[in-house]
Amino acid sequence: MKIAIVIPSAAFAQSAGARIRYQRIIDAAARGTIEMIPLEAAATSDADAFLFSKTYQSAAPALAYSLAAKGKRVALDIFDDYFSDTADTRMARFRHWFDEMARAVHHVTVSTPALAARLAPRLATPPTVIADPAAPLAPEPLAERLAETAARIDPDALDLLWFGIASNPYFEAGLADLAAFAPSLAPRGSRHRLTVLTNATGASEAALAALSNAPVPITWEAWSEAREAALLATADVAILPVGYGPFSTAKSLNRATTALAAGAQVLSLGPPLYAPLDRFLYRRIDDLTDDARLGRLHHRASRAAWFTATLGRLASGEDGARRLLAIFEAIRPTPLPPHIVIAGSGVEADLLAASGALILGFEEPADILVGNRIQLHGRAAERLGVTLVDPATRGLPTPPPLSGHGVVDLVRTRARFTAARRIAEALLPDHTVFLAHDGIVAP
Amino acid sequence: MSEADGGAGASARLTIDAVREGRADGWAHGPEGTRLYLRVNGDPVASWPRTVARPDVDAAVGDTRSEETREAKGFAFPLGAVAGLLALTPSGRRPNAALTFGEARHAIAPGAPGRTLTTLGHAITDLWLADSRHLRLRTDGRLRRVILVQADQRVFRAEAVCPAREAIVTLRIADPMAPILLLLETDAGAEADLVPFPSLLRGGPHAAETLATAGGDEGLPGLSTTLSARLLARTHPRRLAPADDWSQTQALGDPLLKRFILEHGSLADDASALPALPLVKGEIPTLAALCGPASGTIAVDPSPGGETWLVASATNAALLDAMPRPSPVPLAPEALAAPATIATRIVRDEGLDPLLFPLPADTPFTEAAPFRLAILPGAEREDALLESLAGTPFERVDETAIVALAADTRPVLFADPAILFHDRRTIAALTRLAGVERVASAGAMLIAEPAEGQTSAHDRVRSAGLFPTHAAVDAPWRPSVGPVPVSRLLPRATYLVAANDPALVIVSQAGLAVGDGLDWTMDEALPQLLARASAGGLAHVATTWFSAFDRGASVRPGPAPAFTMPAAGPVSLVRRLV
Repeated sequence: MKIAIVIPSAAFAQSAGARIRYQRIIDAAARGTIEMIPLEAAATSDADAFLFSKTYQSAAPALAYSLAAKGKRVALDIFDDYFSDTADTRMARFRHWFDEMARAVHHVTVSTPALAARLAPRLATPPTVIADPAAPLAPEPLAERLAETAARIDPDALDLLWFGIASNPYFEAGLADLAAFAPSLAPRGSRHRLTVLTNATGASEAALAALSNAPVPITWEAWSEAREAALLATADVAILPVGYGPFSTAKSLNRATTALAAGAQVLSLGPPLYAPLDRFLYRRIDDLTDDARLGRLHHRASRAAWFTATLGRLASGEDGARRLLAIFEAIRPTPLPPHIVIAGSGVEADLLAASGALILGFEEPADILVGNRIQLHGRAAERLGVTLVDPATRGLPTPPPLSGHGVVDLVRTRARFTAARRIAEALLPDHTVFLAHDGIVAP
Repeated sequence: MSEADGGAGASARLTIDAVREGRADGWAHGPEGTRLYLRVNGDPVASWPRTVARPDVDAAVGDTRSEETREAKGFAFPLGAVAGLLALTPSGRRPNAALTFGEARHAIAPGAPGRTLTTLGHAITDLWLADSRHLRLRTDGRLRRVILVQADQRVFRAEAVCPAREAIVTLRIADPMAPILLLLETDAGAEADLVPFPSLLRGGPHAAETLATAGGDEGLPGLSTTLSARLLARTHPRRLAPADDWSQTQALGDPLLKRFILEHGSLADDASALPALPLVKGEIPTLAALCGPASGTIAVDPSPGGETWLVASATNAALLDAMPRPSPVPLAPEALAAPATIATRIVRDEGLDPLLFPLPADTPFTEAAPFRLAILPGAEREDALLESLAGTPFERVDETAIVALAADTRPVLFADPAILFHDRRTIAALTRLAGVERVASAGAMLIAEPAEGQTSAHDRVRSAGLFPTHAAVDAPWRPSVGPVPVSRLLPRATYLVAANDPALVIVSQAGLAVGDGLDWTMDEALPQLLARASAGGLAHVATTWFSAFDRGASVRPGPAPAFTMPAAGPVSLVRRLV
């Protein structure tokens, strides 16, 4: 079976998420069986199965549905929680996207048990967990590195390292988490130093201000993959603070496995996100310094083999590839009715067209153009045998035109979608209806 | 008078004659050059000279040297500061302390500290927390040396020598929540001071409590003194009722803050006369709340330039039931004197969507109850208003005599034609609120078109509810009534307010019934109606769960001055501190 991981753009393949989650699964699978393709290539791909990831384009649900309708096996993979906090207005369009995607695909996979538990109530069948894989690791070099660290470490003056993306566009994360937990990095009598390795331009003013009050001296460095590897290889302790928001607490073990695999001690602060690795990490810096004095660090040379075995159990690329294959093999595609998409604002017309959907819209090009009259073109006209429908004679509503005033149009968009749905259901009652709209929909 | 407890048969003698206002006067006799030592857990943390001449003692101890060669034997020791340090340290971690002179030893018992922070404004001109592990003080040059002592089973001591000019001195601390003893050496002699609650200092987690309550003559020293006396005098720890997710917040990222709260509050049922203090996510109790009665919340935005508000919310069970996800808040008669909680909320400009839909658009809410609509005279066309109300159960009214409208049970929604309901649930909420007993009127948040100088989305939002408010840090409380900008800093709630903005207000049948002689098409009619309703003991409520858009806010004059602080009934108080 040939599997395509559908990503939002070709550039996304270089992102940390794609490299960590998908490239490692691809590397562990039989050569040539899994590849990443951008969304625009999905409709013409010869793959047998498709895993959609982060394709937040509003046309993606229609495209996924069209692949399923063609008999392909289609799944959705989620590794960031933009969907479970129903109190967050900003994420309403993501929740709409998720619900539409969930209707379009056969199955949903997630990166963590926490995500699975949160998303299950929104799904007909429970999601399957595929953990973020860790890079392959041999115990011997790790043991050597751990022995070096143990010999060198000064419990009163630790080299602390925080690495990662400075901030998230939607959530308090990154440096904000570090700032919140920074006070606990300076127990009395200590002379610890902290290196922050990040894209500092992305740091919020508030996080920087908070961090300027951190009670440890800080050295800033610009992040790069190479620099991260170099500093992880020399730091005593990687600090992994976790925020309490739903976004942060659904994250994978990846940061902890990366740091531990590089031979650093790990101090996990905040919610116990990394609990499956508890035997190898610390929750309090005092425990770490006490153990360092005794020469009995949790992550030490004599445990290197145990750690690599644990890593193989918790975060294996081979296991991820096997699970993915098993999920797709279990899917039995069934015939689906044709679909119609109500095109709202910000929708990618070419992607919608590639999905083979009938497009019901308020402006050209649309197969069903709604306004004071309903004009039908091409396949829509063929299916219904007419080219023009007067809404009044069929008892159908007329959608109001947009005014150009944002809030007035919020009201009108609600009325337009309500009208469009009634028209779609009246004209094509055997079709599945999707709403592709890249904005908020007023209740 | 007390004799030193270790002095029997020894060559050194130590006697304390009297203790006045925290200062112990005494004398000590022993080998030449011996100094007094303050020892905590046996460790010397500071030495004290004898500087007071005591001729009465000299004869008693048989000192026959001349006045020129004779050592002074008397001393004054700040016993209260040390006793207060011990008393304010939880018993499980409390050290022992003693004043020693040679082998002689006077044990110091925990006790009331008396006045605290007495040197602030004298030897120390300013004092703040640089971060959670560093205390910073500014001196005017008269301070020569400062020793800092904290005790947490082990003794923590830090020392700094101060230059003879105005200077800023930084001292490391072990715990920003634990009392700090400062031993100062000045030109005038030795002094000691107690910082009972460093967290009240600028930069500390309770700094907003200082801002909210220390505006009077007493200032921070007065607040510290009062709170330490109240904490030591209380008979039970304050019972806390934290929400399940209370501690799941970055505000408690410093484990010492969480430990302090749990050491000074109780999660168990006990005999405390005070009700349990509810703590929601992101809130910490004020020190006042840990000591006694308090209510209301200080909302703090920790961002640079962020605001601080004191919110004393009044509401009742019927109102809470009418709204989504109620968050109960106690009534707050004493809130201005003693706020109960400090809530940290990072307010980012997230655009207009979260303000247009404070309750997310995909959250279900009930449908509107039938109502009547009265469109006020205004500059805008009414088409958009009517369009936005399409599908809701309303009937337009032409009758202009308000009292005549009271014949019908359906409430009347008075709206300027510039109002636009982008969220149908706003109508549902207003009609539900107007149905609550003894409610005269209800309003929601209003979002205006952007005006010059309004740089963030929050600038454009205010509440239709008029709050009693006065925005000043240290001026006395003078109630006046006005609109407040509603940002995310104000907890989402339904507030009892003094009145509502006539641009958008729904009036219940009970509210309409007091409108005798008023015609709603006339200027001032609605303000007068709302004022009458208040005087008659009816309530006005405003919700921040929902909003409406006001296209005419920038051209319409503000609410009429007919509103005054209502004499009857509780109202929510809002006061901007920073």
